[in-house]
Amino acid sequence: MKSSYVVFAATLIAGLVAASIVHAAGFQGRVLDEQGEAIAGAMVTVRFGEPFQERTVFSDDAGGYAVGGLPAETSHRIRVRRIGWADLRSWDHQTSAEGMAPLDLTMIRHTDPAEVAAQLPANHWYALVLDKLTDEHDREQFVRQCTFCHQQGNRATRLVRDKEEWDKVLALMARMGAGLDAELAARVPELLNTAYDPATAVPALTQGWEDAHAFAPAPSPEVRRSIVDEYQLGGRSSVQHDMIVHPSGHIYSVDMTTDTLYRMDPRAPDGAREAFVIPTEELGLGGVLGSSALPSNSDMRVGPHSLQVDGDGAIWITLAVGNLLAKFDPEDSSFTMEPLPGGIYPHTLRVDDRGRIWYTIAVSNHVGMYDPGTGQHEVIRVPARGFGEEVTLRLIPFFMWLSQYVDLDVGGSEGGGLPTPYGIDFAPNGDVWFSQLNAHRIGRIDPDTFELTMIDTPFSAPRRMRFDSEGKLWIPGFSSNLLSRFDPETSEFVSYTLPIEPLGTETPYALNVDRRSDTVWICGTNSDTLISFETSTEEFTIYPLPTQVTYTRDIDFDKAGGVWTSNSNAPTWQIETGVPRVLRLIPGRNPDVSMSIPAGR
Amino acid sequence: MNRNGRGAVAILLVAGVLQGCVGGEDERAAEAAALAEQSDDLATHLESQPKPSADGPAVIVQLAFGPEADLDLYVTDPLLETVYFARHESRTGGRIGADVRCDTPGERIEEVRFAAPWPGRYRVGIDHPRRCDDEPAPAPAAYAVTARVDSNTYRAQGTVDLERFEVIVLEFELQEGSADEQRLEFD
Repeated sequence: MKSSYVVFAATLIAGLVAASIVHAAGFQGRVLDEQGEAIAGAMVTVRFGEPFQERTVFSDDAGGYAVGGLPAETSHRIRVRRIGWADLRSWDHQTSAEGMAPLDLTMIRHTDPAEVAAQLPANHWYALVLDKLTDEHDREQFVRQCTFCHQQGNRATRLVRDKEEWDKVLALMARMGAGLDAELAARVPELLNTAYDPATAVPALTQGWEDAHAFAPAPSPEVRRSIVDEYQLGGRSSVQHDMIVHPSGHIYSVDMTTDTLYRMDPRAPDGAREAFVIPTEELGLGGVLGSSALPSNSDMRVGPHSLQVDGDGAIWITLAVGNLLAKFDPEDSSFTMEPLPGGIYPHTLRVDDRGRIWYTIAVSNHVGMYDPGTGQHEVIRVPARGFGEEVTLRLIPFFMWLSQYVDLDVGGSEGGGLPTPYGIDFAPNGDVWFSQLNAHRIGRIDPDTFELTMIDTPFSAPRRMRFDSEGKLWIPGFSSNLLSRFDPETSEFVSYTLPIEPLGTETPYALNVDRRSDTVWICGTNSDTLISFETSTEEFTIYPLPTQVTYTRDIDFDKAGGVWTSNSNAPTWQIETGVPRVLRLIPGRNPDVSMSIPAGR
Repeated sequence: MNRNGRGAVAILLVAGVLQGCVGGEDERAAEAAALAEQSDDLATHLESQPKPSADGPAVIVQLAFGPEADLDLYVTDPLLETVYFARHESRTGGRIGADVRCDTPGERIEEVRFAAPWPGRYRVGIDHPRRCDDEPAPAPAAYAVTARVDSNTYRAQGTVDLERFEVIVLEFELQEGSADEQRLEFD
């Protein structure tokens, strides 16, 4: 198998070279203000194709930018974005076959602070709510539940609504699995309305906005050498929950609400998107969970949620509401289904060195193991936090059976306040580790005996975690705004506060460790960012992403150092442009920047 | 509590629930008939609503229901975006009127209008988030829906249980319309 990966790698490199030849065109110039002064740190986004692809670069200290690698003789749309200035949008810019086309871009300062406030990522608005939550239990609960699937503080969530409308929204969210204590739920409408009232919010958010460069400093030169590529994938009813980079160089993504597996090839000029409809086993809308509170535009019957590649290049998928595992063979595009022998809502999966599929089972509080070689299944019950919770969890299957005859709600798709096994990964020694999101615990499973050990985390909401090459476990604290390192040898945690401003407003959903460098990459799920953490120097770097409402849930890496994720805010219509994207950050590698402006300009 | 005690609790719970499942066939049949009659009445009531004028909105979707429940109308447009009580307007211009709740006086009709509707497929869903008379689940509520699309009228009626979302009660296709895609660029 290793030799085939070598072939894949060679193919990938050849493909990248070919792509750069095909895509030799682009634009270069300067981003200036109305007085002709340079604007550093502006995001220049160029869109082309259908479905669209966008490439974003940053302007340097002299305002210079260069965006290359675009298809020649093609019409492009350009948007320039910098907080403090109005978005510049311009259509029908033609690339040339002769190379980079000159294009200077002039931005106009905002004169209305409300417009500036509207440009800020959701976490800035969200800070206004958190300021009003003085009780730590309430704050933690609000963070964990009210950003469970979407950003809190984006345009859609910061509407001022009457109390009754908020009550109905909160009741609907509870049915979708993100419930609040009754006492907190009763206070939330006023809390949100007062926090998001433009009369008070805009002045609070825009103090010092008149000096735009100081108000929103440009990213560091290292960050500004980065490139962000975004690929529209799926439609407006899609939720691209997780994505992976296949060893072949293809990108695979699961569209949870349309039961589709997507494949795309970033080496192809048009992205070469393909869609594979996942068999739905004749299940109805909502799958085995029924339609208590499905998204209204959903066609979800099996709900593909998480995916991984096995040693043979096949793709394994958890089908959350179908209660199935699926195997996709990229060679013949076939699916093979494997029903779960127990448990409800298969969630996140990983494939171990022995080719066994390990997966968390979120609603029923289990971890599952399936060995495709032998057909062996194990469903390991994870401890609940108390007797009452244990009884509730054990009765869920009964209630699901009973719901055929009596209408019952079994608690929503993500387990609501139930313990909810979530992220999962393997230590270098083969031990299986997982998190229990709502119980604030991690657990270890012996891969041979299936013996289980639980450990309380000294922070709340451990979500999707990963090991580094040295055997340290890195954990994002979703409602605790931190990155934590756990040493299984000593059982010690060391935590690092995420430096997203305003401090305390980030909700890191997931992370991954690039084991080539042991750099930890963290989802800036509430701030439209990706965050890197160098484990050797313990330094964070924040990479802003160009699309507003970029809610990310998983991260993977390509062989060239690209960092991939998907924008899976649910509902999708809240995402700027209303469609989901799969995106790649190429950190610090734009060779054209700083070489783009001829001397003397 | 010891193992026997827990078992007894479980048996009692199961017995209690099952007791609610058996018996009362006649009662349930009578209830179903009453609900069917109510949904007929609601459909008749919707039919009596004023028709839109020829130069008026080309798509109007209405949901009628009784005072015993708070039902919510969801209309998903050809862009696959939904207008409902918490999203008042879609990018294609669909707008919802007043959210009719338990304490809303007057007509119990929710309405979504598309003044310049896009061509394509529309989906209508109905949610039942709350009973107004505190009847416990499943507490089905009757409804009727009409969708007036130019000169055509599409209809659906039935019941929806408490805390259930009927994702699709009606779908229809609009052949012609105005798709103002320019407004979606970089929005």
